[in-house]
Amino acid sequence: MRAQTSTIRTLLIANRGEIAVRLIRGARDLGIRTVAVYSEADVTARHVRLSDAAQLIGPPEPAASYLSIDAILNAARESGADAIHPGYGFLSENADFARACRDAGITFVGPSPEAIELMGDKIESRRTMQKAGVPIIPGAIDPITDPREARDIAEQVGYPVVIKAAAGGGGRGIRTVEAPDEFERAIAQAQDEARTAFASDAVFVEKLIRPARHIEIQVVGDQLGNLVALGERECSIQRRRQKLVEESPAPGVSPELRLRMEEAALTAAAACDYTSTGTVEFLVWDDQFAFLEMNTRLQVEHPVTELVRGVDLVQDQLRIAGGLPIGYTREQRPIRGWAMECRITAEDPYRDFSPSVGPIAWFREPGGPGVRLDSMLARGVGVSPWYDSLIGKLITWGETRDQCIRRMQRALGEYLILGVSTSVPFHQALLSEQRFLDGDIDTSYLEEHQVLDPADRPKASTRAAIAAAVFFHTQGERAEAERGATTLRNPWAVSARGRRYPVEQGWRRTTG
Amino acid sequence: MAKNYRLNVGGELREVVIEDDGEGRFVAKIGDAEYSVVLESLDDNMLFRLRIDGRRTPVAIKREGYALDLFIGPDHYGVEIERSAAGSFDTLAPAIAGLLRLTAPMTGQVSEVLVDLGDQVQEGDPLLVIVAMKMNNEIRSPATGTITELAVAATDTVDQGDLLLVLQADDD
Repeated sequence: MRAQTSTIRTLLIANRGEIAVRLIRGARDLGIRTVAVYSEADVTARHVRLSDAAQLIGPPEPAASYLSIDAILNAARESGADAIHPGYGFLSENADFARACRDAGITFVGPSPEAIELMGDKIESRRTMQKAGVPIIPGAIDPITDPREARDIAEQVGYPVVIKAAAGGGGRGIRTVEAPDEFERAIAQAQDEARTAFASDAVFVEKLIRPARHIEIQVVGDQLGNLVALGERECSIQRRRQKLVEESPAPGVSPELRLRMEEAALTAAAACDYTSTGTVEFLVWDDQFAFLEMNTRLQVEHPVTELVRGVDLVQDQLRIAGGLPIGYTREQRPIRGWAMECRITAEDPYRDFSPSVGPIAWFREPGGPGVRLDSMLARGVGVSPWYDSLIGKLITWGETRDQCIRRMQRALGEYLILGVSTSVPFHQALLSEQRFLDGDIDTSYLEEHQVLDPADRPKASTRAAIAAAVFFHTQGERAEAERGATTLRNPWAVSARGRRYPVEQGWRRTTG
Repeated sequence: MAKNYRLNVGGELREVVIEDDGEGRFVAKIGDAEYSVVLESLDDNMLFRLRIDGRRTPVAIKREGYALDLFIGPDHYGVEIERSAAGSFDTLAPAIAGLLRLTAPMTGQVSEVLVDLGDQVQEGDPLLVIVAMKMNNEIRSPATGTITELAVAATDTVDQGDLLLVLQADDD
């Protein structure tokens, strides 16, 4: 007999980019109809073309489209969706949104609003973890307003310490303090940043532990009270607290340490009656670990767990949201082999990862044994300045870490994207460093040295010089022939003030 | 007829002589080396097929005035063409003279237009300001010349690639 697939019939996907594509695929595997939503900047987007139906929800500004609770609930009502998957980012960890879905009688694919709220408040979640017996980083339990309190705590736990926003995330609202006289300024700055970014200026202080690794545990909970831990992901390769490479298992983590972390993660999930896929992030040093935060959503790097554990976390979420049990135990999903993910972003790794936006003229995607690509690219799709720079995630699997890395190197070599700069050269350089190959990784890896030097940028090549010269030459000839302006011919155009103006392919003008 | 192009490719100066057979085939000379070249547009926009001595490779080229963003294989090059300001590269003039259409380098909102129709501007003069991602981006003139058309006004929203203005570049 076939297992029951899901009780959801139509799923609205409240996201864009590669994750929207991933969610459509997961839903389709369960026979669920999908509705995409899109902003005016995403008219040609891949998720829009791939879904069963699509609804325009507003202008490119995220606040008026992908972050608008009203716009998304309206789209759900109009399309007859009985469930909404928020993906990651945008509204995924917004308790008000989860509550609004519940009030509208629509299933929110994720945990309860109460769990989101509790874990979204770093001070509350630390307090809860401490009560539940999950190790936390030494520091304040209450919010800090007075630099003197912060100094007292620093004296107890030892310098350096970090000031963090209670509502924090994405590396904002964080300040390192090395000495007592820095508190006044650091607290003010962290509060300021937190107020702007999160509309709450509550901050707390905890010990800065370095060197340390950032390792997280995947958990899955259902509405029947079952909880399963699915091992760890190593996420220490970060630049300004943004992850670039993740892998599972984590090099050097013993079965004993894994088990202790899994038990702590299950305790954390149980403390908030967790009922979806979630991730408990830990800081790990020597054979110790401490709770950092819990992400109450599907994580960007979920595919590495899927590849080594043989699970489909999106399907699990959809089944659980429909009231079904998880359907497996930890022992039934043992670790098999090794998986790694490289986040392919539209950024120039030779220029301090500055964003690179615009149309993409052509691309060639990698494939073959052990290669998975979750990507937003499609013909005519460009990189929009309005959203995150993630183009896609390249994930490889191997029997061993060595085979997994070789496959990643092959796949990176096959991956060509013409029209924007990408992080591919960074990943190629990183994967050729002995220290990385040895698995000697911690969160300071990218701070300590530059993987790609601006001076490594490819210099003049004969090919490039010839291409440029012939291009200018033909442009000049055309200009002479047409005695007109020297722009490229372009099949797309808009009319304004009675004239036609060319637009880059795949882009639309939003206002007159 | 042969034309001489001096290019700054990724920070290095390269001099390329192009011979044109008038039927889309070129001979490129760099120093003593000669290459047979074809550059075909594949999408009437930014994608080309470059053939050098029979070896084919896809190339993406984005032009902005005198500068190119050139993508070949995994590599991304910034290229600038040396202008004939000094009068020493007259053969180059047809490639760059005439009307220059200045397009928006990014999506954003025009906050200020600093020039009027008919204004005489110098190369490097600020022309307008586009606010994108909360940053003021000053758009400067790529050449010396006269503003012959203004396509935008303050508070207009522009997409990357939209026409901002047209400049009649002076003949050097």
